[in-house]
Amino acid sequence: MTYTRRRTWTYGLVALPAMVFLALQAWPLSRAAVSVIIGPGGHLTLAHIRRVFTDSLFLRGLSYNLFIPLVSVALEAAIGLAMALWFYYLRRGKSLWRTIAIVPFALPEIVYLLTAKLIFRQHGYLNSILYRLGGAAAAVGWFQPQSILSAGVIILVDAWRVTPVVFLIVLMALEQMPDSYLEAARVDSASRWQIICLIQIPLAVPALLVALALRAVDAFRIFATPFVLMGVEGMPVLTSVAYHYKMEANDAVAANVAALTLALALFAATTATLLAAGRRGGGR
Amino acid sequence: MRPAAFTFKAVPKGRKRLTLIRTAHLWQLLIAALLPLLSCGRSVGPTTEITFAAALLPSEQAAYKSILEEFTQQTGIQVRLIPQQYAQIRTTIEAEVRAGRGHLDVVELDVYLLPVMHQQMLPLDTLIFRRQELSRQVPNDAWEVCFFGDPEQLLYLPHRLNWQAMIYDAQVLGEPPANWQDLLEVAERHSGAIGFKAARYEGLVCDLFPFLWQAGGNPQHPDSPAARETMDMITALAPHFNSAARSYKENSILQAQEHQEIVLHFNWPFAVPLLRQKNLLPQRFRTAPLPRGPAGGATILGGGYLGIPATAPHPEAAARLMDYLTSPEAQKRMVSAMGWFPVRPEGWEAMTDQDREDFAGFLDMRREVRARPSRIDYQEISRIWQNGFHDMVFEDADPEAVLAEMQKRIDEQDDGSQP
Repeated sequence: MTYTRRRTWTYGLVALPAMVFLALQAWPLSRAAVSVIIGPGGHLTLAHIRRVFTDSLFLRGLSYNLFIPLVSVALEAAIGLAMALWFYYLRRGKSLWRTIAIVPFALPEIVYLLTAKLIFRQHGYLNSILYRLGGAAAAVGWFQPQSILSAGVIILVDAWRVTPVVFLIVLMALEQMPDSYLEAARVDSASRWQIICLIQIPLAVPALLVALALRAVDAFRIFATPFVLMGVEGMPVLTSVAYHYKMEANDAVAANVAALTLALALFAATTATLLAAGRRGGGR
Repeated sequence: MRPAAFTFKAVPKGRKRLTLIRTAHLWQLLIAALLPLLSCGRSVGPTTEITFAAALLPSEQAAYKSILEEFTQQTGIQVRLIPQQYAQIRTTIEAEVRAGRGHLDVVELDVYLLPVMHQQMLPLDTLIFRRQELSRQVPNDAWEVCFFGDPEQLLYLPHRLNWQAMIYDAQVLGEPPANWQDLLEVAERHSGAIGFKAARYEGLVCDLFPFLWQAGGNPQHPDSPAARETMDMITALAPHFNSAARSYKENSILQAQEHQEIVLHFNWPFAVPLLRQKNLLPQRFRTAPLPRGPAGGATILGGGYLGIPATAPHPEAAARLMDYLTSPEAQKRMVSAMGWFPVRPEGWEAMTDQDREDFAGFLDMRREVRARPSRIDYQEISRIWQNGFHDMVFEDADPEAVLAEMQKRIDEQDDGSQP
């Protein structure tokens, strides 16, 4: 078997589970797609889509679904990279600190989120501290619906939990970097700041991009964090809106519209990311 | 080598005995093999197992299982209990009926699902023995929802009854607000600490419809002076809602009360045992009737109803379980073990004095319980009210215009889907 043919086989085998999964999804997805464009009389209609796209809950969900992942992933990139560099230069207790840093990610999600809720709720830990420091006026409505602050809390809680993923991937890339690059820079009297900015960060970018691509897809599907902390109405995102339509309003067609909107957005975002990564990697 | 004394030849009597034992074993095996065949076609037999899906809290499951064990002892019918949420029970029934076969024998449904699910349920007329007797015991509003379309065709039996009352912080408020005016005064004094289940789901109308009835209104007539008066009251109250009200549901609003983020809210009886476990009731929180409106007091009927899905594999055994669960003995046990409200008067005898004190607000409302509209498109009516409420309360839309639009949509429903 030639090398090229062997490689094609390997790729085929790797892609097989994904193809089986897609085949299994094809039927429900096509049924969902048909349900959103067929009216009660069996004729083609855009009424369902129009109905959902004029629902204020859906529109709020759509806007939060764009805003939260964007800011969250940017925050994770910045903090993940900074943490990785800090850990890279840490001399003592590296393993201990690394273990502590990944605790939020290692905790079961529901435990982490309920703890976060206890911290940020109206009479939660954080407001208790603020109350003691500055009286009732110092307490803050962290979960005030439709406020930038509440969106910030959701982003912070979400980013806090998953930043260790970005951090670990980037740290691994930094640690695998050949020492000779850094030694050569030092011989040329480069400062630590110059080494970080001109050598380490550019070389860590491919690993960072992989981590961010994974996180971006994950962040678009955000559900548990806003759902547990603020409920569907408090902080709607497309997944929780679809859940609400199906389980609470018993409106399967509206749920399909919301779910398909998310699926299409995800497909577009993933394709764009892969194309961008492909272009950066020279089409390899 | 085996000693001669132990060989079969040496003991002919023993061999005879052995042959007899072998024959007996063969007969036993044959009977065991034939038993399932003999019992084919009978839905009730000593080894029948039925599947029962009910909406139980984790804290209720052990007590409920012991009630079912008593049924098994009496009848020999095993019951496999599946604790589920109402929405999941509904989805399962729909899937089983669509498939034409299923596993569920008895299901518990929330009262608001009864009209919607009526086509998927088996008529109970020929199955339930206690029908006449039960009809005399169950309160009228609670009995009427057991039928849909044909007033003679019984589809459900009430399993437990619920209605809402007020849970208030007695340490902060002292006395609970008795009427709308008192409620507004409390709200102004404790602005931001009024609980209201304003998440867009069925619970919202459970808080809203009692106000409507207290004003003399009807959920099917939003374009009426009573509905207008109700929304005037609600929009006056809304600025004092807790900021998290939009996401409040039964459990989250109760948690807000526990954390003392709100001073009062309206909820179902399940809240009482939960607050009692935490020593918060009656020490800090107490129950009271909902504040009375211009047309008097009113609260909303809730509760679980039992039915047999059309695809139930053992309908006769299922009916026997329903008969048992609505019997005076079982109802008394449900009251004493789980604090549920009974469907028949004998059940109240099992309530202790402490229960009567803790549930006082609920008990005071026994005569003021009202059922939601019994119509197949009820969920659409509910959704119209939920969206209208949000438009008026959170989007500052003009109540008069919103109520008129709601009426238009309900009229369209009347023209289209009312049987």
